Amino acid sequence: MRRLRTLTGAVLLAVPLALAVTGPWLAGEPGERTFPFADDGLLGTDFIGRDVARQVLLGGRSVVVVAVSATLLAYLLGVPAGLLAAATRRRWVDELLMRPLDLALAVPSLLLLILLAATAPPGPLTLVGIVALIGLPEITRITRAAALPLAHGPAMEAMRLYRETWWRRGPGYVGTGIRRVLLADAGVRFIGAIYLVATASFLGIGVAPDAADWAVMVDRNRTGLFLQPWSVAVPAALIICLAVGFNLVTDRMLHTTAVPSPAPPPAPATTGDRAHAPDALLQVRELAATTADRTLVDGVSFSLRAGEILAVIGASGSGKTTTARALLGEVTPGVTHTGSITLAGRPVTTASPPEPGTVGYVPQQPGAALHPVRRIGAVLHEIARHQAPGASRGARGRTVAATLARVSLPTDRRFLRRFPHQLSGGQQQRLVIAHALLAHAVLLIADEPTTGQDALTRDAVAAELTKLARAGIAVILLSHDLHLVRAVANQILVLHRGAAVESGPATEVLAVPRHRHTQQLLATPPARPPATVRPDRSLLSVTNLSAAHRDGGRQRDVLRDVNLAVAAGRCLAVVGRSGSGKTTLARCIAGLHPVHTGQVSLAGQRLAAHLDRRPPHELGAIQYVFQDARASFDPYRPVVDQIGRPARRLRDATPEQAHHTARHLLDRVGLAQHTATRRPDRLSGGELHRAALARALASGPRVLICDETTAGLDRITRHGILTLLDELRRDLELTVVVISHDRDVVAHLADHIVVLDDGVVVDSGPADALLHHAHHPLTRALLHIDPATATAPSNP
Amino acid sequence: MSLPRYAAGRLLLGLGQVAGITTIVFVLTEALPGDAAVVIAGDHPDPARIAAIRAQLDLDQPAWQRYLDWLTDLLRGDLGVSLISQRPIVERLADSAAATLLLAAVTLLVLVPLAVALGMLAARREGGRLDRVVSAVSVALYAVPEFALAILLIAVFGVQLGWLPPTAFGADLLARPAVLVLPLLVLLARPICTISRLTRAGMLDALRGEHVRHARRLGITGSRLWLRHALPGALAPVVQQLARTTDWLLGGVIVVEAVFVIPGLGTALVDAVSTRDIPTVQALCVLVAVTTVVVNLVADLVAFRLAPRTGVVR
Repeated sequence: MRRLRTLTGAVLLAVPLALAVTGPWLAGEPGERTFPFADDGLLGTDFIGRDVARQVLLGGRSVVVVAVSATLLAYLLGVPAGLLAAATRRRWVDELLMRPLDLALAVPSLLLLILLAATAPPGPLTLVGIVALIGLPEITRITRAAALPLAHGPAMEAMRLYRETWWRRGPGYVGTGIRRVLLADAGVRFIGAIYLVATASFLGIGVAPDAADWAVMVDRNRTGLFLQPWSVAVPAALIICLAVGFNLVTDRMLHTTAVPSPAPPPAPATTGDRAHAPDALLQVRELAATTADRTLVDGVSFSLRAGEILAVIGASGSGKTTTARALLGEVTPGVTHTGSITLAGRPVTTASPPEPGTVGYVPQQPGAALHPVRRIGAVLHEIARHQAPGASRGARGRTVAATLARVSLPTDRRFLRRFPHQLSGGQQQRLVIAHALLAHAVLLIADEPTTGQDALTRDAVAAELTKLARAGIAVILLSHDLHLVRAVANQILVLHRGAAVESGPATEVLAVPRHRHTQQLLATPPARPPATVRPDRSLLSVTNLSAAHRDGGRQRDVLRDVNLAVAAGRCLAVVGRSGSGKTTLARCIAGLHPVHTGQVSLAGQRLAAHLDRRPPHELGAIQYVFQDARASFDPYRPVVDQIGRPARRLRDATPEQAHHTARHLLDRVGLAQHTATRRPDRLSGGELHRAALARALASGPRVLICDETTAGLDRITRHGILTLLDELRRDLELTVVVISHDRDVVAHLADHIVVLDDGVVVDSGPADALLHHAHHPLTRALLHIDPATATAPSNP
Repeated sequence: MSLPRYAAGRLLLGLGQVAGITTIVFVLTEALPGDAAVVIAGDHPDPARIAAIRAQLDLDQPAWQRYLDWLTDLLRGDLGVSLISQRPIVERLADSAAATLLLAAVTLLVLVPLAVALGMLAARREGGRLDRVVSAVSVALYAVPEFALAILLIAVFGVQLGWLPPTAFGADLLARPAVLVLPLLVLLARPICTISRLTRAGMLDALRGEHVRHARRLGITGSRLWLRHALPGALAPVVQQLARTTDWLLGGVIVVEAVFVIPGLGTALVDAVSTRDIPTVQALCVLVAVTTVVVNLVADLVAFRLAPRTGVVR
């Protein structure tokens, strides 16, 4: 269908284009003029008696030439303007460029066309200028929108940290990034130009009244439509062919991503003896999920009773989510399921999903499951009405209130009138659970409910899940958060590459893991060798640092009067809840955050606040490892190429030396050479974290700042990275600043800990003391293994 | 951000846009070639008469003085007097607006339900026969300039087959609805493509979205799932496109009015520009600009209510 459409388009486009290009040569000398609208010649005569066929041959060129030049001119002006607006860090430049364009977009284009054309002398050049001017604002906006995330994203910041050349940052990275967007859009722009040129000619703007132009012919010969329809119909048809053909050929925007939905697999036989576990609510036997070339889940069996919590643990990609989808009876395109699932005595397949309401699913981002534009009360009432169609409004209200109370959410009217985006992440999670409770769910699946959350939130989630289980609901918890699993699970199922390698009661699996993979997953971080005692002379120090964020024109203080110091070869951990200013502190040290007062010094030398004003040796001395390793690489260049660049740019290494440094560092971080010659999208998350570390080391830094470097990695990968980081610190005598809210990371690496709350240092001290005998309640809540004894502080 | 706050900010922006556009209009019309006084003097271009007309039109005043006068008059609702007919411009606009408004209203009434329904039908079975036909036709139709389509329709239905009147010349639009059929078809052609495509894409996104799947798991199915849970999220881009269509319709569908000889705002604008009737051109532009700004304001407010905001309160 799509091929056919493109082929039709090509044929349609070929006729008018061929005429436009070759027409003027074929036309020959002008013949004798005869009577208007006569039948002489192939297509008759026009309104002043010229041969229509000859006019048709002549009239295509102006439309095509004007439209092409106008489109090119618009891109020539619009793309640089859009890039400038996106790249500038001065707000007023952006405003100055974009506001007038917004204004121009607010005027209908035909009106603008008429006004502009009336003010300028007619002629093809004027027409080109005007059509380009009309197309300009949209092109500028698209360019700016595409370039903006690239110009200020982590990859750009990483490049600025090693002062990458303009050529590689601009055309190399941003240019490649926006190329696809602009190309996809060019077709639409050209059609717009043809449309405007033809319409302008038709209205007599910018062309001579008797010009040989298809659109002018349509206009002028209209009066003779009854006498000699060819003189109008042929040019009109040619214009239509040109526009339609071009749109059909370049149609990328409207590309249909038709995924052939796989035929529902035959319902698996459910002859499995149910007597096996008569009281099991959920029974899964030999569940397998395969795609065309891969096995996602391979023969997983388990059963679960009402009121029990099963934790499914495993590294990312081990098949946890695929298993959950199968339990929901949902089809992921291209995946085939086999095996049997029985829920409450009823088979579950993709063809017969579980009874609506019986299985609740809390996704990793609970907000995604909530209707974004309806008040939460309306949706709750809708679910209640669906469950008990006859109930009165008052009864429904009571049911809703009771359910909200069960998940510890407010029940007042004001709360019910909120929209989901006005709730916190924790409230959204509990609201999704409330939906499931209202629908009388017997099984609840929670997907990574604590990823990226701090210890306090984790306790709240644990309490919530335990409460649900006590109320008789079976819970399946997909997680690699072992603290949560320890706190709540009755049963544990360990998945490894789609296969169940171990399962059993939680206490047994946690105490005596049998499978090697489980042992790896559960292994406590190896004890650190004691730090060599050295005179503590501070290398990096931060004094009276304050910083603010600009939030829609208003300044919001993020850091207030922060002081800290780290000795050479030591590791400082900065901990705190999300939003406490940890990352801003790290960015200030690296010179990435613009507005701040106070100062950062390295070995007694005061550093410039902005990284562009730091000399190369200072820039190279402090390097930063971004939270999202993938986003911090230029996706269009081989990884090894990028790893060598800091040496080349900051240490004046020759290309050979830089390449040698890169190879040496790859060995050091344990990445294979051939892996690193690929582009970043071919590397796994763990590999990219190693590559990011290698790149940060290439300039020979004295201070390494790691921002949540291991968040989102599974436990085994994380251990590898942490161990590597610790080795590097000792071998290279690096000073490391770690930003984290993860106790394991802190315990593994830190010599010294600083606790931030709302931009203020609330606690600091040696790691041993703070990890085990802290006094401040927030420190206890964040760092102690069993924070139940700590009173949760309020988080303003 | 709450709706009232957003509305207040958006209103301020709208006022700024109107102020900006009036300035642009004034500057552009100032730059129109030809001296209005010479044009009006017509067949008797003796210098004394031209000077008299210049004084009458305040053309001897500096430009900024005339700009301020013009703005204050605008604020009082006084659009001035046409240079050609010497009639108040307000009357002329009122006459023309009736035809354009009628055309725009009828088009919107047909367009919205038809395009949204078409988009939803196409989304019902992605990649199905209906979906492919609708998308192929709309890709093709979208590119066709109105005048070409209009001429072809007139040639076929007005001239060859003689089913419908080829133009609305001299006809009372309300008394003879048949004259509206061809203009309506032409006006519908492009918007119906964009709006049905946007609806379809929005519906497909919404149906794949986690919140619609969540609703389905809770037992909400059928038309309720489609209309209450999937459609609102799909409509946000549609509403903004609809605003563009609306101001395109109200801004005088210049071509359609020219082809079908309908005395609307578009015809008035083309006439005024060709006769150098500067006050009328200015008044028309301001009218169109204000409509554009108001329509977009309304659309943005509706879209703000409909747009998914997945951020989390900290």
